[in-house]
Amino acid sequence: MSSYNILGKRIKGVEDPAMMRGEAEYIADMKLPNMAHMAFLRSEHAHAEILGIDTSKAEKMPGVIGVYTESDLGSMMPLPCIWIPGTGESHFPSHPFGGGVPGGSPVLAKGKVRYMGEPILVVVADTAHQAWDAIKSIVVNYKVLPCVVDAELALEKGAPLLHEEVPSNLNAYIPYGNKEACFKAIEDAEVVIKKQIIIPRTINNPLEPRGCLGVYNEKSDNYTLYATSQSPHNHRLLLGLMILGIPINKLRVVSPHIGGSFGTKGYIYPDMPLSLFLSKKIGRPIKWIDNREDLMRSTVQGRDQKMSAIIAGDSKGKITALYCKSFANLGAYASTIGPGVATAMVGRCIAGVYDIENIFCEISAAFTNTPSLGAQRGSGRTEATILHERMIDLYAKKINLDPAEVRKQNMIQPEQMPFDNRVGWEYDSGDYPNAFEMALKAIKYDEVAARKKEALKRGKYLGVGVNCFVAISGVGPSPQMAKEGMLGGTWGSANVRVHPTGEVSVSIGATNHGQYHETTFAQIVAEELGVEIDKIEVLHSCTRNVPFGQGSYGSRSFSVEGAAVKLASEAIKAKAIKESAHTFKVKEDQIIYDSSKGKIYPKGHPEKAKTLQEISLDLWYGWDIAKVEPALDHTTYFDPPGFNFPYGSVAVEVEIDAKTGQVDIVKHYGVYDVGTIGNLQVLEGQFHGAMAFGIGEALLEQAQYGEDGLLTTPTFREYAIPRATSLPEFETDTTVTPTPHTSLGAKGAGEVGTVGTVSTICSAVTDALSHLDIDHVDIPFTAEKVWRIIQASNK
Amino acid sequence: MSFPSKFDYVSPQSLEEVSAFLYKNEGAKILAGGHELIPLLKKRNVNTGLLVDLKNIKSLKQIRINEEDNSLVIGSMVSCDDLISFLDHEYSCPALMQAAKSVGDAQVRNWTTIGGNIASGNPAADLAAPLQCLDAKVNLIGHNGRREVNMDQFFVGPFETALEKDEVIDSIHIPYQEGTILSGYEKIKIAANSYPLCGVAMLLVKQESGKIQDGRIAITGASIHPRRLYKAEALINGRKANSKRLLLAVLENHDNVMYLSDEFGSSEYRRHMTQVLVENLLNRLV
Repeated sequence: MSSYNILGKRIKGVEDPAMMRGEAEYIADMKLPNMAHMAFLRSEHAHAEILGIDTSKAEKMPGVIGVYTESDLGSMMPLPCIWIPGTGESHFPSHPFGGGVPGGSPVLAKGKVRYMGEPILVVVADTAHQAWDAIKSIVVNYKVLPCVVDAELALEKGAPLLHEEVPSNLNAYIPYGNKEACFKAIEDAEVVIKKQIIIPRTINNPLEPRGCLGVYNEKSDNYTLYATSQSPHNHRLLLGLMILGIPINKLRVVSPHIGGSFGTKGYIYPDMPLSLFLSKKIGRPIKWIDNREDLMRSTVQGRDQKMSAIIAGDSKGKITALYCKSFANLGAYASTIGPGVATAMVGRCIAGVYDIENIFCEISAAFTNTPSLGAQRGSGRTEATILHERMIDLYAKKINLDPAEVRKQNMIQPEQMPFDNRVGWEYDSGDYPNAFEMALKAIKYDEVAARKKEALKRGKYLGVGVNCFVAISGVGPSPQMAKEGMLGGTWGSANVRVHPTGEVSVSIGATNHGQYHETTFAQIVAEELGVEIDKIEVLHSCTRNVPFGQGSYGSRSFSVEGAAVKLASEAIKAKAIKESAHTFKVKEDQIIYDSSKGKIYPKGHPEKAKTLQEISLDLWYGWDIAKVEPALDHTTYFDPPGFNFPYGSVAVEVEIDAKTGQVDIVKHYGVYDVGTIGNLQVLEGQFHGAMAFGIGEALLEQAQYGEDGLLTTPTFREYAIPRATSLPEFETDTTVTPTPHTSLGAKGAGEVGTVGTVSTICSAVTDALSHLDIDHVDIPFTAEKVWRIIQASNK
Repeated sequence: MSFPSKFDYVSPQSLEEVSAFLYKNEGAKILAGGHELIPLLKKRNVNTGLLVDLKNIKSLKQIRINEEDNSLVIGSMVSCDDLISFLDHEYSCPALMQAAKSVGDAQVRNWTTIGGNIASGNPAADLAAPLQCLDAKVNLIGHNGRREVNMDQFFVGPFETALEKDEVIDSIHIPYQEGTILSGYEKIKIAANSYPLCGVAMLLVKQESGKIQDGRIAITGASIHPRRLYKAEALINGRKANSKRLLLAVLENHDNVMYLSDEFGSSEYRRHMTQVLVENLLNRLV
């Protein structure tokens, strides 16, 4: 099938030894001479005026260097938002940078706090412990205001208003698709089903919380920020241009090892500019490391859509219309790219893998008194997949057809590619029916009835779900992202340099936060150029190492930045061939570049072969070379012509304990097509992690806010995430349908496991309860919730 | 990062010294593993001027069978993991074993001590339920000397125990029990933290006739503190285990249990799950 020698193979991660030995350096490990530490005082209320702050005690405490509030920040600008959802109306607080840049959030609260956890001030001290002690001594005098935590309620008349500049708390209203046609089709349909589906707020919990270390060097007037950043270059640009107002060649941003992120570390947070600004002010490096409880109430959170959907069709299984009206909860402030995540990533995805003639989605994103919304592994696509898969299940039930049959009947066929999904995306390639058949077979779909019977004897309700998804990835084609409202480029970049000694340095635009970039990106170069993996170093995550890089988010790293690496390698190869032709005194088309052996020779004369190192040495000496520039070094900037669309099918079998309501996943299968594969072992690790992530969301996770707006799940004591011991054995398969948009052909891979998992567990759980006449239950399926449903239907 | 407020630290060599420190220092806290205490200190939900670490008192780490009366003596600093190893090789007690194995995860079981598990009066102490079924006695040392408290008198309220401020747990004594003994522990785990939402320990002493001579049931996690269900037990003593009567007794709450209702589960769910676990144990043991 695949003609690759190194790509797609299971090659052990070159990152592993350092991490396994505990030698990998994270920000918490970093120490600089004379380093000071910073701690935040955060709001205890969801919505309040700050009447006064008494810092007198803190200022006199041992080790305290200073206490800084909003009034000490000079000309520092607020954090900007750089994604204005483009197709409807939108309202933001203003930003002093102007030029249409919307305001995100203040660096420190000014007179008012709008969510529990909002930073009010910072203390800088000699040690982190002293800074924390000082924080605990500070008294804030609040006037508590009425608050709202639900997006729909926030848009009601008379709801507490968050921002003076944003009438009725509406950030954006955006329609996708054809409203009139959709409503007409619903009106004309034989079968119409309505359902409300609520997808709760979740909290991302990477192993490592966020942190930063800001350093100002007075001699050179240079700044360096070490930060847990998924996007060092973009964060440098925002910090320099729109927050601190400093030239970006005076600022270097470095991400050392990052212990997971799931999207959260792609955002600009107050600690980043503060550590730099205050480092200059006090003349010392300043470090800050978050703690779990503050992470839970201040790092961007995920999901939170309140959807009302209608599916319509005929009585034989043909879907004619799908409609969704959703309230998206943006939180108190627009995070860096939060508004886009909450809107386009849902609204343009609701068609899934189906050919639905009439489709319309309208989303109202509202400000509420909760922490800001942002990305979470699979964001938007997970919510949209839950929506269409749930609605198809309900439709199938209503017309008394097997849901698998309804899916097959409406599925986009491979020959329809490329396919316009009618809400804004053009799917690039794929064989959706094949993936679905593989999943049906893996779960032994024909034998489910017998297994249900057997399980019932053991007091278990057995249920099976087999779902399909397609998950837009590979941000992305910059002009298209601009149309979606993104203020910035999203292309890929790479530099490949073959040294005179034969080793290769590759600079990539992606930022590794657990994805094994150093291994998989080296595989691209090794495949193309025939250089051994251990001679290839991959440079990343530092604005000085890399000309420019958009970073890693939205499953873009391998599919977009990898494509750039492939192009740069191809250019290197072409130049090496040109130089070889000169050396061997033959025409270029007579040169054989055997990548499998790393040999270059004239056709028919393998005994004359030279290595890339020999050719490179010639090019670096430049004494007698072809009509080319000296050196063997190439930089590529690559904007993909379209998004890529990984897809797959997931099958889940659950058993619900009839007495306790406990949901156990007894089988969990996924077949994923992510186009060209980088490293199968890394890929399977990403599948497994993403599937576990989805299980957490489906069974356990929910950020709960009381009516007072206070988070009642602020620690791991209350907020449940899945544990290794509670996970099933994952079974995965892959098929390979390359994207036609790049020569590498890779599609996004990091999120697909989550996108398919959550909806499929929903299907399986409702299937298990279907004999009780249950057609929908909102996630998470906690034991007591399921038990109550069983109890209620037994009555 | 978060940090505890400032405190002094001592690690005495004897329990008498520990007691003296507790007596002289109002608000002093004992460190006996720390799985529960350290997070509370870091969050400053608990503040203390003095932390008294028991780690240097070697006798507290011993488990032995008392040759005089064949009772089992477990030092208060015996870790869950050490307890499991001992029960694996030297002494059979399924209820205690199953409870110890259900605590947290492997790392937590390495740290958690039997004394620490019960001393804070945590209403969801796993080990409390089997220890109550075993009629265990808690041996305490304080300023006024040594005394013994029955396990069923040890818990007096949520996070309240019979321990006086100057008292520390020396050991836990499990009396020898004649006859055919069946026991077990089951729990519904709280997904976030693995504590029992509801845990039930059961111990049945059977006669040759198959009748239950002595049936004991204790619950943890479900109520304001771990406790025996004496009234329910009375319904099975002297009978062939008749699950229906017992289950009804639990469900109808003959023992007037104050079932907890909190963010982890309602009192209704806890009551029903107690019944489910009692039923599971009866099915398993009888």
